[in-house]
Amino acid sequence: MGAICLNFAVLQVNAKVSSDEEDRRNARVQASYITRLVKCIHWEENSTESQKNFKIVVVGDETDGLVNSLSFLVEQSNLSSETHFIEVFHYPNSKSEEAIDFITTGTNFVYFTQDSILTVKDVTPYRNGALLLSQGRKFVELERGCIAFEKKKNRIKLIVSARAFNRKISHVSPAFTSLKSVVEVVDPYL
Amino acid sequence: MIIIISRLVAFCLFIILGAGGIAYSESNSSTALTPFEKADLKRLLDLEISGLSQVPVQGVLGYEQEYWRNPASVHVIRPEDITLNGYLNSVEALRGVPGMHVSRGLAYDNFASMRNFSGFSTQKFLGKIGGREVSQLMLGSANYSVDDYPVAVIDRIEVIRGPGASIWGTNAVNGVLNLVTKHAGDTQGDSLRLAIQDNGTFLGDYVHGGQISEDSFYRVWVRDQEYAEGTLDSGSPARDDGHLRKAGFRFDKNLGSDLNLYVAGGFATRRVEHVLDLSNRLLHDPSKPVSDLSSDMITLSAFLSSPGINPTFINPETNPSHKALIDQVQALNSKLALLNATALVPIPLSVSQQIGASPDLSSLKGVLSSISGSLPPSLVSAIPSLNYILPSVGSYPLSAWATNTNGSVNYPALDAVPLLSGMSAGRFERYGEMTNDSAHIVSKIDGITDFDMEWSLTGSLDYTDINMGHLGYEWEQTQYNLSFDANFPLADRHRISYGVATQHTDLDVRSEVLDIFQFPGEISKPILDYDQSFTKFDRYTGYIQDSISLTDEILVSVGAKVEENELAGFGFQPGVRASWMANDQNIFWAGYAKTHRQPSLRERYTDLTPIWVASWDTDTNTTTWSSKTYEGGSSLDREEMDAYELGWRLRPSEDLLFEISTYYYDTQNAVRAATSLTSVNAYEAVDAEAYGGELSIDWHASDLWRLRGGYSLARGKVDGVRVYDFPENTASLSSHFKYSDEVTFIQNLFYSGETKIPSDYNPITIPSHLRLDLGVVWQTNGDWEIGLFGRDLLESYHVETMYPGVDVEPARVERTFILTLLKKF
Repeated sequence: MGAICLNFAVLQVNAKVSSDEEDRRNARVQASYITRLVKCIHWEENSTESQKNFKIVVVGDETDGLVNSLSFLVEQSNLSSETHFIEVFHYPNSKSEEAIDFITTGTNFVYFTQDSILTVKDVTPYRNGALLLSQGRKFVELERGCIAFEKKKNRIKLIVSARAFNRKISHVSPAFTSLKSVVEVVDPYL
Repeated sequence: MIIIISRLVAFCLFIILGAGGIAYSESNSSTALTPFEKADLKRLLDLEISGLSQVPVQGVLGYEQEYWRNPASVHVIRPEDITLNGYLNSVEALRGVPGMHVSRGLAYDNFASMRNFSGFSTQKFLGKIGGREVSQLMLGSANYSVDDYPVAVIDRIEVIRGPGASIWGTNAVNGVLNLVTKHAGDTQGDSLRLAIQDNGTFLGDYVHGGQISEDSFYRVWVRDQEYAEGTLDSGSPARDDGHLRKAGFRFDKNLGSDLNLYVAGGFATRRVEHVLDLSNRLLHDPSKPVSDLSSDMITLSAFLSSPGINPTFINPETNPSHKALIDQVQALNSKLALLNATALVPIPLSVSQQIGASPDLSSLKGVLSSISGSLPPSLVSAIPSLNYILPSVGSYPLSAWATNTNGSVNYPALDAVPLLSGMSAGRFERYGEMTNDSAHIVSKIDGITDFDMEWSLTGSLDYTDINMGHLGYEWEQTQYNLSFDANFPLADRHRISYGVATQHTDLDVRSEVLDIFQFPGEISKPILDYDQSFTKFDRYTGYIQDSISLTDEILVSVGAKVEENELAGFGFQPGVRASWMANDQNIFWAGYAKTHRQPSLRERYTDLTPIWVASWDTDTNTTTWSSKTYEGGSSLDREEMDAYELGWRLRPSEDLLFEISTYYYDTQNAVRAATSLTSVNAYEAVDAEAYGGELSIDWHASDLWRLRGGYSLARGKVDGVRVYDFPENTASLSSHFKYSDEVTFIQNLFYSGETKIPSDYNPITIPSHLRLDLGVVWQTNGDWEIGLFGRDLLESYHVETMYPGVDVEPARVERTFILTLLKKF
């Protein structure tokens, strides 16, 4: 009987493990979205940020291969946003202070992992126009993030804050809103 | 006891499930990417944002073909695989798929068969094009040239070798060919493709797409294909020129959150000529004339060799003419004696006519007549009866046959008859227009519910009118399809997919008696005569399948399809497939499936009367004609196949992929054309087995150079005897080298082993052949692509196939050069 109980535990472990496969795919799809999103950002013409490389910073711990996926995609695609090269940086929780310092120097995307100890509030004072991304609807609706990836109905869709279209230094292309089946625009002030 | 059993069960579960979990935690829970994941990322990189939103997070085995853990042998053809290799249509692109054999027999058709199987293997896989099943009930096959789409609207072609998973069901015996078209929103603007071959063959298609509103899109397209006339192996014109013209549309609308609708339709019209070989269709039973002549010759011989011969009449010692006469009689007599001793079977009338006009007999009669004054009166009166009696001219439509004569053809079957060996038969060919007019409309609505159930409802209406003028056979098929498919997650480790479908078919079949078979009196029959009692058919199907993540390394799909079908009865088709991810680079998979194929209407309900025989009627003492009719096999049961597959997928890096697939098929009631004159039915049920395997390699050697190769081994037996209608060995090697961002050099090498095409009288061997294609494609900075291709460069021509079952001489596949122009969206 004890052995059976043990195996129920094993089954539960396996149930979790099998969902890791989905988590890794989720991460790959999100990484692919991010490399596409780079092309959807418009920069103010006089912005000094527009002259530099496009920097994507991932903050927080992650085990699903998101950072490696992003790095691989960037390496493969040689993507650029309006003539910019893309660079990917990762600061795990153990290097949160260094992450803040780096963000202060100027970045374009800041992605918060699910396990990140840094929050939007922590980063906002230093972000200098960077767009904030993460996973989960509440990131946009409650935490005042810019773009969130939402896993719903076995697909990954985008939740975009209405404010992301009206920012000064950088904003999301209005054409983005035409992708209604992909993008849901929410106004966190409502 | 219970405790022991429970501990055993627990131990087994621990080994199966627990060990997998441990293995996972050691191998996959790192942030490092596996080669398979990197390759997946490369694929995702090509998707636009709208495409990314359609990528399922949890895949369903059988639906998502490109998932690397898919326990099946799958090859996906992309539009660029068609354009960059200079293929005119998607069927030609199948040439590079290991396990598929594509051969060219006429200007307008390529024949595609998959893996080895008995009989006319193009019938043995399921074709789905643009969301609808395209197989014709009459022939049990599809014409992929007619149903093809402009390359600009093709998203991908999935080639699934082996019996389809339970979700595919009936007729997915050797595999599935699934052509998926693009969403109208992905084809916005204008696209043009022109391809001109040096022999005059032309293909042009134009696609225009636009947006109607924020969430609705459309596209329309037209295609024209002109076929230049080819040449038969003998050098005669193939008379296979003609045209195919098509047009179509698609409308897509997003009805709401995760609710989409599309409506698509099109029509096609094709006009080509087709030929019916008649060389072996009028037969003569020579038993009676040979017997009579032998009898007369024996009498004559006995008279001439009689010791008491009257020297007044015959004196060979003094008269050379008499000596010659006796020599001729003895020679002819020995030939006739040999013929008479043989169990003679009906032979082509043209051969019999040659015997009747034999110089020996003519000469003998001439000599006899010249010395008739020296012969006894009784013998003189017998001279006119020394005849080889042939059917009278008025007993069959001689003039119609005379218009179809075309030289002579080898008749190897005569080799079995002493003294007839090496004779040729008259060659007769009747050309007739073969028309194909079709139209279809298909609509699909799909969505995802709040509890993650993905569903779709598809309805389609297909109309086809095919007239085989060379046979005097025409049918109209109107088919209605309605299907519902869905899948949803169940707990963390299951995904259930299920569906129901119904199909109703109406047929209108017409036959006419060709002029060549319009015999005097009431005995005429059409070549193909359909049993008009069977013109409405209904099919009901249902399936359920569970995709189980048994552990993170082991995926299993278990399912079954049930079907009630007037052609195949009630059927239960179970299947199980599993894949095991041994480590980050190696995946092994296995599958078992029981699949059914329903007999075609041609096989089951159509009488075939291809042969008429003249023989002696003892009642009337005249030569009369009777038909040889092969009845439709109304008792033919469905084919049932047990299929076993094993595969190994190895990806050492994201740039290199090896795949090995092996299979063993055991088929009961395999339908195969009867080839004997003594057969009662046109088709017979036989037991067949096939086995083999495929190896494929895909290697991105560098950013500039991609190599793909494949090898296939296939062997088959029918009732224990090896058959060779599928090449035992095929191979391909394709190289794409990017000289610069704009210029790509293409080299394709194809090898096909020898095949033997079965025939009722004239089986031929198609020699092995090697084909080299070279091309260069210039992709301009804009959206234009210009290509120049040379095909079959190693030899001026070779032959690849003979049109199965019609015995027409193979057409040459000649060296050609093609100029292509493509304007992308």
